[in-house]
Amino acid sequence: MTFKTTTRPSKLRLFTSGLLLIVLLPSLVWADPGGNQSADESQFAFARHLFQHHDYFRAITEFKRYLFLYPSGAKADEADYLLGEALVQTKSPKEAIVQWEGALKRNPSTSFKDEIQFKIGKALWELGQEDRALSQWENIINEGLSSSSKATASRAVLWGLIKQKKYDQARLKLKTFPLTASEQGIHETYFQKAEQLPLKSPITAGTLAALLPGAGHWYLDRHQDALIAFSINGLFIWGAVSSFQQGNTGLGVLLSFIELAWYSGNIYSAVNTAHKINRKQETDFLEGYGIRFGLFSSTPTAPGLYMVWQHNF
Amino acid sequence: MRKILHLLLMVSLLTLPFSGFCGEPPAPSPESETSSLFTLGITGYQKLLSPVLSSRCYMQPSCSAYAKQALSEYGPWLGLLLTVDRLLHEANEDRTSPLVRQDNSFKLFDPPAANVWWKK
Repeated sequence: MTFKTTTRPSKLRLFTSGLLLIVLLPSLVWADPGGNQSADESQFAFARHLFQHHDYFRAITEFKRYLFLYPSGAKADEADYLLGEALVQTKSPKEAIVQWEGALKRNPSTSFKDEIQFKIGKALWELGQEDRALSQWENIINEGLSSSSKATASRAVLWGLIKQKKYDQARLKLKTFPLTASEQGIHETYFQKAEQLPLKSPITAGTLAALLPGAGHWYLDRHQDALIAFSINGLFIWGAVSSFQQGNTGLGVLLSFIELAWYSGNIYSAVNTAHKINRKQETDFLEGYGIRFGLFSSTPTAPGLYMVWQHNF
Repeated sequence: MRKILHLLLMVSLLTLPFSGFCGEPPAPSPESETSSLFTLGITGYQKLLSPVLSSRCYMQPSCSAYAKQALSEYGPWLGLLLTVDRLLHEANEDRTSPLVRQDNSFKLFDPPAANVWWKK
């Protein structure tokens, strides 16, 4: 025995379904198949994702695409800023400066103005245009949007002046900069340390090396180098003298020629080592000074230091 | 005088085969002849002696590579001074040169450019 059931849609159900269809279909027009983000936001998010994962070359392309498609998009200012930063990361500081200067021209009141000016200054400094860099940072001190950016720029200017050994100028500026009295005191301590760095005289080192091979290195506290220089020069001088005394003129001339190279190299090495020691002293001091005031940062994965501008994205 | 000539001839004979018989055509270079002679001597050391002595240099570049680089970049005389300087200063170099990773070890990075103080 079989039962056959037939269902007939009622008129009411058909009407309700039709009504729902009519109401819901047009809403597809406003539907966003990509989620909550609009197209320009997705484009920016992708570019920033590449940037954050250090894929700078592709990030440059994607930021440029964003700025081409949405020149007045909500994230255009940030894209301008990050595009410059990506260019810096790909060792193109000149292009970054052009990019950032263009961004400031397009929107002089951008909320990234201080960051951009600071980074332009940093790029100029790295290109060796130190005075232009200092004037960029001073612009922030005079026209900066926030007190923290003014303080950061003040520290950068002081750091730059100390690197240039312009201690008097740094002291004058310190009095006018918007820094607390306690911080000014710490800067003054650093200025004094910078003036009293135990530097070696390259002239003294070279003269001592010329008078007695190895003495220049001994003066530089490089005792092993001094003993090596003294021994090698002594050995060749003794060999040359002995050769001449025994009538072995040819060998004497050859040994004298080689000794001349060792002797000249010993003087050059003493002068060069003095310069290297001084450079290391100054670099270490400036790095410590920069780290103390948050101008530099170092990470274990990327040895070396880089000037930072703290900004949370 | 004859002895000096013999010595010079010996040096030439020791260095020339490395460009003639090692299968590497000499690359065209603007270096002077003196610089080339020194470079040939260093190449001879790198190919004959260095493999036997095994690599013990804790500097980057190694002294022989440094000398070749110095000679090609700064010419024979300054190149020679830089080479002697490197041989003298390597014992205490850990105080001034940074460490870099090479393969599975750390080495002191000291290229010729780091020792030419008037050129920043």
